[in-house]
Amino acid sequence: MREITSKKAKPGKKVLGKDEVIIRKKSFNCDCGCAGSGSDYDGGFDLAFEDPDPACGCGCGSDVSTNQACDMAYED
Amino acid sequence: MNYNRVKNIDNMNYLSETNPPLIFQFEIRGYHFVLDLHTNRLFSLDSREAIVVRKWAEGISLTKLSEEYPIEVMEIEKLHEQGLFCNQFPSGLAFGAGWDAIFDQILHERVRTVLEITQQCNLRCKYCAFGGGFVDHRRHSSKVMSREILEKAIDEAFIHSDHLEEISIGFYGGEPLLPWKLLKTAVRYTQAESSNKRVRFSLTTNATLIDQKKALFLRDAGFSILVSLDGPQILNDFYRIYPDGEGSYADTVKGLKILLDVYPPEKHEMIGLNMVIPSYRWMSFLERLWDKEPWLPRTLRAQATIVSAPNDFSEPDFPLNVEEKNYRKQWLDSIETGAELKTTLGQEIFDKAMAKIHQRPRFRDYRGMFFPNGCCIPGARKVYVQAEGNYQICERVHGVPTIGSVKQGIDLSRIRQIVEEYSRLSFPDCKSCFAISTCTLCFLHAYENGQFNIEKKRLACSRVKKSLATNLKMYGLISKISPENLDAWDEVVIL
Repeated sequence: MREITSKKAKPGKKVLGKDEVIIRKKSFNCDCGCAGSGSDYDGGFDLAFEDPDPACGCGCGSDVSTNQACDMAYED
Repeated sequence: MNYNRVKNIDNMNYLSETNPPLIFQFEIRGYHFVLDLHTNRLFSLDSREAIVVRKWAEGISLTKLSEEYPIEVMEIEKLHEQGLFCNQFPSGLAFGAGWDAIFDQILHERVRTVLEITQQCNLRCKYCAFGGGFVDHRRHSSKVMSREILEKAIDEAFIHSDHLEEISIGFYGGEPLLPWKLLKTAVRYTQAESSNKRVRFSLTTNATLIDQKKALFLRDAGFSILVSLDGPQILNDFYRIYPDGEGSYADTVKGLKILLDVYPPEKHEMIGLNMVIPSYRWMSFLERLWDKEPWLPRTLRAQATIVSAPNDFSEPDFPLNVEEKNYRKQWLDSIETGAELKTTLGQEIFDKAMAKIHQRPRFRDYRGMFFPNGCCIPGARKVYVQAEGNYQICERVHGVPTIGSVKQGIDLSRIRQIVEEYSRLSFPDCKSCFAISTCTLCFLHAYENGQFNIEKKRLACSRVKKSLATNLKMYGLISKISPENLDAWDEVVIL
């Protein structure tokens, strides 16, 4: 067995709440429609796994989820 | 064989060596993987190891399996002694700290305050969350945030971020550019009250009201701007319309162009597009926007979102080019071959999903408590201030109880009540779920009209589990076919 590791996410790191894991760098916009300002939205930060129902925070009334788009991408 | 850990747990009447571990095993293109739920650690397996793990999970004892697979069982044993493959169920859902620490974060480290400065909007998009097609969403109204509430909300944003050097103030609506003077007032008030704290502003807008003067103001104040534009005109104007039915594309594109002209190229990263599509098969269709508007940078941040369909929602019936349905494959091909995608859409969606999996928290061994799915700590990183001054967890939740107000302050006891209720009522379903360690559901999936609704949540559960499984598969596959991508996903910052 070979572990698939991450350089940064090491076992045992203190994690207060899951919302501490927030992606806010590179070209990634946050998912809540805050224009990359670093808002969580995980509560919200998890675009790929979201269900299609909730309205997104961008004010357009859309849902922020693209999980099924990911499903489409990840077919065997 | 040494099954001390298992035997110890046996003595607690939890399990025996034959009980299956809490794992999620999967396979893609002949590659085998296992995710250990307690530690959240992911391993690739060879075919023999995969057989052993599967049989073990099906209830065949390791002692029995060791007769045919001694090396593989020894490997499992070795990892087991390191804390993996525990088969004890967790005892509940909770954040990784006590309430004193959580309250401390809420009271002193609020990163972001989002202001619903108006509920007015100049458009009437067919899918709008506030158009009346959703049970527990507000509707369009003429309500505008008062200056008193605005200033109090900004004061509170500073008070509850005294441990931070930087905060973010977001503007939301309605269309937040409608009360332009109020927005400017908010910016100036924030700047005046900020002392030495850095403040980042952001705005989500349909951009139809952008002119040179406004763009200059937004640029000078350092706004990040997300423009809502649903791809090419034929699609955008199908949904995004004025009250008289006229499409908004021309005005939005005009506003976007002004923004890109006013913001220097090195600041274009502060401007992005949010593109709503009726369903996933429209993904590639969005890229026609760049073909129609060649001045639009291909590097512009663009995210696609799937519409949350209200009553009476329908997809456009104009035909798609069949080839354009394969956007998903384009992205995967780009991973395998290194070919570049036309726009950032694939990166925004797929790479981001992979980076999140890649950087998921890991743990040493058995966890008694798992996180309450993907819930944020309400009020800790963000609050959403409604026009009338109530605090919501975020702009996306409509059915969850409010968590205070600018006048009465953040309601810590209400926050605790919501989190504990969510955790308690979710746990029976989560306890034995393979997605317990990576679930991303949150309050918005579970509340309706102020009440926890397990049936609503279960609908979301089924979708999340499917997505999670497929995402993990893709992550595993890419770790095999293009492992250098993992290094790239490491570069994404985790706070």
